[in-house]
Amino acid sequence: MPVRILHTADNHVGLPFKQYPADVRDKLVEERFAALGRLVETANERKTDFFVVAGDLFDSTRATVEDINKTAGILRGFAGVAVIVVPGNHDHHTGPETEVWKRFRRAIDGAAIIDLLNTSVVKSYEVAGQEVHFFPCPCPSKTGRDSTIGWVADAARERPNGLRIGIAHGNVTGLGLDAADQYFNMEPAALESSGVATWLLGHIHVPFPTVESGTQSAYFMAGTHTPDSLRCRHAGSAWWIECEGDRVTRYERLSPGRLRFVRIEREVCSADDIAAVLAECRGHEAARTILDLQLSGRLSAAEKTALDDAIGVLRPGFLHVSDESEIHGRIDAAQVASIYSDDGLAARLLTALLADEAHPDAATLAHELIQEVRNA
Amino acid sequence: MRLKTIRLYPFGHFTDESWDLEKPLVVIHGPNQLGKSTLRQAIFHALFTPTKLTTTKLESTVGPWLPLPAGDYAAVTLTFEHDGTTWTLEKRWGAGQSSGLRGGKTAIGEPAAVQAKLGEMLAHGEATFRHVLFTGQAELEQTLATIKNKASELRDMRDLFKAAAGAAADVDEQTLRRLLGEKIKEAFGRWEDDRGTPERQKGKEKGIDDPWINGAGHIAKAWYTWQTHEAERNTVLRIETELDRVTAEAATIEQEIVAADEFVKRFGGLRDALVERNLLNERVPRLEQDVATLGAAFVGWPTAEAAINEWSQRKPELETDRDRLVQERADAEARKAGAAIKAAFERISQAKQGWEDAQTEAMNHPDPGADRLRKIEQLVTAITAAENKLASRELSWRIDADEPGSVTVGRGVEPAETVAVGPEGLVGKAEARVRVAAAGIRLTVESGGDDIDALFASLTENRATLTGLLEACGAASAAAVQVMAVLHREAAAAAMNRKQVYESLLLGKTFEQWMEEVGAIENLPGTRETAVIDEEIGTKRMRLEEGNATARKHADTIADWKQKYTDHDTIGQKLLEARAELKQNKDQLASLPVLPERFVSVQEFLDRLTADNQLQVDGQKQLTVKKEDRARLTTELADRRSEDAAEQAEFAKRVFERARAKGRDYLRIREELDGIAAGGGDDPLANFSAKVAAMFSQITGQAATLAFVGQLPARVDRGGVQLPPERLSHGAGGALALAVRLAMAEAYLDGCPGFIMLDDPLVNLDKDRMAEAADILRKFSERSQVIFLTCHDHHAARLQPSAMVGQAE
Repeated sequence: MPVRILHTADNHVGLPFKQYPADVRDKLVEERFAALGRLVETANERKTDFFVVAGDLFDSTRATVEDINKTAGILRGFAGVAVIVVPGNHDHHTGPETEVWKRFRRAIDGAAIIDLLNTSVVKSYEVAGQEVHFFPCPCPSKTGRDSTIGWVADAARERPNGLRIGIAHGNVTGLGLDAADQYFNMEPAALESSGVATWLLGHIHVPFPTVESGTQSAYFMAGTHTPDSLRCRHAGSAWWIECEGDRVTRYERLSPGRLRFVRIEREVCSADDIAAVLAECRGHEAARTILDLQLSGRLSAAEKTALDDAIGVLRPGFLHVSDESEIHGRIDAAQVASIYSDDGLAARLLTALLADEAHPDAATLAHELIQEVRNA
Repeated sequence: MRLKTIRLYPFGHFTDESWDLEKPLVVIHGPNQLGKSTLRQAIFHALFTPTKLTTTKLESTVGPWLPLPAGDYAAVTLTFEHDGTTWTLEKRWGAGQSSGLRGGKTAIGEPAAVQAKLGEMLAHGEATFRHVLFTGQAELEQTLATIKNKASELRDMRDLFKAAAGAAADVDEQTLRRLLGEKIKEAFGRWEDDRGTPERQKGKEKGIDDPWINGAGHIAKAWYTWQTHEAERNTVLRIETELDRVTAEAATIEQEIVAADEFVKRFGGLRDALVERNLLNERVPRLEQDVATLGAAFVGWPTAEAAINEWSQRKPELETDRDRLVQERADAEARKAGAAIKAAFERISQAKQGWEDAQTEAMNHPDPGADRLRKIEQLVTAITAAENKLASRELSWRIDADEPGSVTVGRGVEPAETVAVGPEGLVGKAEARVRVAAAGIRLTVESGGDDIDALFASLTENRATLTGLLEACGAASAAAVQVMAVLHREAAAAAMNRKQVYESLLLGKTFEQWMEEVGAIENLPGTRETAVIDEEIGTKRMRLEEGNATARKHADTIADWKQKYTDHDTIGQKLLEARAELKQNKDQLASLPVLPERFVSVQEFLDRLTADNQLQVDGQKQLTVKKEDRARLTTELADRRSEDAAEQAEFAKRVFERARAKGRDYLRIREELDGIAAGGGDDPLANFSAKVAAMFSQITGQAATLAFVGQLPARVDRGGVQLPPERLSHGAGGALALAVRLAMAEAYLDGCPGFIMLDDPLVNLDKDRMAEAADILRKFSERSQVIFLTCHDHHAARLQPSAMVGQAE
């Protein structure tokens, strides 16, 4: 009889999304709950035994009572053996007086199914006669540097029987966060040698492994369950994991998110490029997409107008569009030849600059300058 | 612009003179006084000198051309064609100054407007005409020097070329440069791109804490914005970290308070009992020690006394044994030393015997006495002297007798004797004196004048004295006495030496004492080896010392006890009391609660309890401080998140990078512009050099070629001989100057309608060169009008065979 686990993390309930207009912000905030609810539904449908939140269920230790109650309500809907919640760095646990967890405990009062594991103490369950041991490694602060998993190896040796699962929150060397965010950093070798079947991790909002499914992994990074910023390029993720005996036998990535953050960062220099941008825009479900255009390049006036018009048409359909594009007027050899005398300074200057691939915008800027001189 | 006619009325020495200038090549030919320079100046002033002038300006410009002696004005009318329209320009300087320009439907009378319109049509400035298009003879000769001296103006010429090319389908470089400069300034204002930071001010960084207010360009502003967001991010991060730290510390304090509360609650009631226990814990060992001490004294006192008594009995015996052994050792030492004494005594006895023998020997050689010896020696000396004296006065005598008879002969002091005198006579000798008596006759003969008798008497006396002394000494002669004295002295010295040896061996003691000592040694008892005796002495002494020490210790102890407890009974009493107190304390200790586990001592427990009591008070204070810190940090943090700040910083960085990239694009444009200006393939000045070279080569009949450095002719190669321009002959130099002038003019006019004016440019050329130059000028006039002024008939004829003096054709 396999043990089934749904692994999520970095849900960041209460993330404020202050940079967006109120209507958009409301949808983004609500999506955090909705996606969590979808995960619970999925877990139930798949007869999951454990619903594990590996840190940052909440965006901060000052999460509101309303958000916490709502979250607790969603988690109460889980029909398996237990919901296991481990504090991450954003909702770290510093003691019994930590506000978010005091509120959470009140919110789950009477819900025996939800276990807040805020100390580094093994939590054991029995599923169909099989022992399942969880080794929680909660974060004691937001910005701590040192890994909290050091105790697990010894504790795991003390429990030689059953399924052993580690739960931790922090950066993993090599998975890609920059130095500033390398909190509670863990080394892959330390994870792999700690004596557990696998680790359920949180903190990096990008899922790991990078494949959709598989049979073995020393650790899983859940990835945020629904996209939370333009830096999040995936559709939201969580892992559904099956274990047999003392090891993982199958895993599958879930995509519970419904909203997408899409940044289109392209150089646009031709009608084909425009078509590609527009096609990409149209390829997204606009009503559920926050679109950020970071276009650069050089277009003729007509092309630029066409692009702007097309974006203008698409814009209302998107949940939100921000545009930081910087597209210059295009000049090419043919235009230079048609506009300027062959041996003139303008022609020679523009021709030379057009050949300079290291400065693709220089010719355009020069053309704009020349036009400004001529029109003065 | 092409000139058509000109009228001077008056101007210089011309009162009213007109020239037809309409042909492409206008040759104005006449003698030196014709006024070629005046005509050239008139054309120049007509085109460039306004008529509305101050008196000073008038004098410095047209003044020289006011008619002499008292003309107060000069006037010129110039007709020319421009863009298909014929224009009439009328100018009057000085009195009644006026300007007028008419052409087509245009008529301008305002002097400044006239100049402005002329400027449009001329396309080139006054300087261009002055330095390039109008060439006097003197200017021609100075062409190369002028170019060298005005090297900086060569660039201006380049600009003029380009400006000329700046028609509708191009751009004016200067304007473009100005605009580009503005863009670069707008981008890079207050920005040091190499360092990637804003400019410093007097070496001081101008970061976000002290930003540039004025002059900051787009890049600097974007950088400030980015850095502000970075600072905000760091601030938020710092607050978050600080909040973490304070929160963790508060949690720790809370945990410590909880632990302290639990401890105090659980064990606080034990304090008094455990304080009592702590006291008893200290007291019981002390009492145990007292009991042990008293017990030891109580038991030890009689024992010590017995030991002292026993020692007092045993000690004399040991001391006697020790003394006996000491004596034995002394005897052994004395016996060991006796052998040497005896040997010494033997040597003393031998010395003594030697001395005594020497004394006997000395007595066998009596001393003649020093006085006696000296007297004998004096006598021997005196006798010898007298005898020698007498011997030296020896007399030989001879007595002859006629008949035998006898005579009495007295010799010296000897008694007279009677001797017979035979026939043979009688001879003899006598010392000092001889007396002969015969027959009543006495003859005395003495030698010398001394008193012979006294001499003999002294001799006799001395001999008698000597004999007496020798007898006294028992010696036969004076020499024997001397030998006796020597022998005596040697024996006496030997005896003295022996005596000294003997006395030195006595070592201050008498011989009898030595004898006594030797006798005592002979009487010493027999002993064992000293090592054996020493060992026994050591043992005895050690036993004595130990016994004494033990006895003394016992005595001291007893004295101490006596001082403390007076007597043995008192000790017994105190011992009983101490035992009772000890039992009571132990019973009490057993009845008290025990020390909680984990604590090694009651004191450790009490320290912990005190610390926890203090922690309950101090911890709350610390917790309050931490909570205040946390509240302050939370307020300071507000709803800021380092993640949001990072995102904003990232965006600001992107804006900065775009601004920087754009700025660098502007720099790239300027770089390219500079590159084109510095000389690309279409550089008009490169063409200029080629034209100069070609014309020079043609004028010189291909006999010479030119090499350039930059745009300037650097040397002329003629038949393998290379010369710098300044060392050329007049002819070659004139040819080069003309070529440069024409190339410059061609470059400026660049195929546009215009004209040049040359004043006798061929004077230094020989016939062949002049002919070639004339051909060049003719060819030049096909593109641009040439006004050629000359006073040389053959020049005019070569250029235009029909040219007439003073008249243009």
